[in-house]
Amino acid sequence: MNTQPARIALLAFPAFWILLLHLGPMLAMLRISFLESFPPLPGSAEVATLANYTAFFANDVYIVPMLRTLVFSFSATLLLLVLTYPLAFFLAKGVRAERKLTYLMILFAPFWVGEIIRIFSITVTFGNRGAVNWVLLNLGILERPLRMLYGYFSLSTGIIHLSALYMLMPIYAAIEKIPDNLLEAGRDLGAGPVSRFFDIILPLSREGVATGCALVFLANVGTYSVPALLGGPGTSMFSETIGTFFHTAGSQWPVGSAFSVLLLTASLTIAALMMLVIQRRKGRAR
Amino acid sequence: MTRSFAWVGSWLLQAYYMLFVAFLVLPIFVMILMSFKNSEFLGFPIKGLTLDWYGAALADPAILGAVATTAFVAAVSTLIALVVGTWAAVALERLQGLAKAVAFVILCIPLAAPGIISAISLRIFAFDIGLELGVPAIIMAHTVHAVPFVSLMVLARLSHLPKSQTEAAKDLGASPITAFCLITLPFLKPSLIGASLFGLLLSMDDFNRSFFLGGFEPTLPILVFERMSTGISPQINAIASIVLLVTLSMGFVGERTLRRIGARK
Repeated sequence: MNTQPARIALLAFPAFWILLLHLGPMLAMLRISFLESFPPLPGSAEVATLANYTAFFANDVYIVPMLRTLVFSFSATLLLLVLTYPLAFFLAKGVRAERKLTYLMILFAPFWVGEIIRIFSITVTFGNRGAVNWVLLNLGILERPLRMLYGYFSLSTGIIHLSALYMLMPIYAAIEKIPDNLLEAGRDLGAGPVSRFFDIILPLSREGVATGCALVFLANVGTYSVPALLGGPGTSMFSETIGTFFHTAGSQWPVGSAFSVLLLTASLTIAALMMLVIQRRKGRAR
Repeated sequence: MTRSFAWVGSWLLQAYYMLFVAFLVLPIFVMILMSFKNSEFLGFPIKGLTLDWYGAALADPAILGAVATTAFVAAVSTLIALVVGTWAAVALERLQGLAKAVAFVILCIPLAAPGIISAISLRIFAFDIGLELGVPAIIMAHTVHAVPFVSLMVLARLSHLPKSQTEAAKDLGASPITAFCLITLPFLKPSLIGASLFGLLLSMDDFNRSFFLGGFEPTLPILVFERMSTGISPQINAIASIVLLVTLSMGFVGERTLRRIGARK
């Protein structure tokens, strides 16, 4: 008994909300990226231009951080895939059912802590006078402190600490869904643990790997706090470039918006390609 | 027996799991240790312990103000997101085919958008609708960010609700709204508790949106960020440790509540 007016009332509010507040900001950003000045000067009409986009290609100061961001985020995504896949596999198939929740909770707990606090704790731990250097110096492994902060090492550490969960969860969910009797059948037919892993687990977890890679890549591209607090002058990322246009009011926003559109386009394209490559291999295998 | 891989590898995996957990926990542990160190100088070795930094942190009006702002923003944005997110999930259940797919994608934009882009697009949007930077703008941004998470958590449980139950209620004369309140809402309770907890943590921990939409009343992560940028003081260890304690206990309490409700069903 779903009458038409009731149905419209049910759908209208969420539809209005997501169109206005989810799509609206993206469209506002897109619109401003084509404006010559923002806010428009009083009394003058808005002038459309592509100059904000061409500004990007005219200067190494912009191109280099963009490329660095994409390459670093991609490498960090692969690193996280390699680091978390064994964990996901272990949690899904290597832990007894009654202990699974405990294992998951222990792994999750650090992720409840906010990103800034975790970044801060990394600076305290890996600094020149930090805990790690102190232990290594006292053990006689190092003679003088190793500089671990404000470079690619601390950036990667930050990324691993903040994004591991986004990679782990989709893969865990995918492996968890693989029925145990499939693995038992494989064993009964004489498949060893290694071939069971490569012929059953790995192909059947591709969906999870694809989702995890896309999520983590997008998160890595968009992080502002990690490069701002754990990076150095030689590792500045495009998110910081974009940020500088928004620290001042108004006038610089069109360029910042155009750069954001470029970053979004590039990162969505790469994320889609990653998913496509992983899923096409699945088609071929069948 | 669900252990399909009971071989030497599983011991290696067990060891790797512990190593990874240690790697995740180590900095947090070091930071807590540091918050008790009785010296201005932030570094090892630790020669004596003190509670002074906690005393100083709790007496700092800027920190107390930030705690109040953070709690207020988190509570309001989670409350709104809970209503909107649940409503959106129930509405999405009714759609089919292309309309459902398109609505789902738009619903998930704030979740998938890279942090910096989410933050600056919301800042431009706030300007467009005439919302001043500050607490209201942060609440708007946090709400938008939390809605897709709430919807996804509600949707996950909604798909397990047998249609026959709400239909039976309607056949017995209940209006759709009554059926929703008496059948659907109680069924969604675990999801809603989980979602509100998640929403609170999301807002309390948020950096990107709070940073680009904030005014002169910083939330805690922004305060820590600012103090880190102007020179690290041992006080930050104490503030961070207090926040850590609050978030961890929220997580544990929420998890236990969820499990208890889950066990009862």
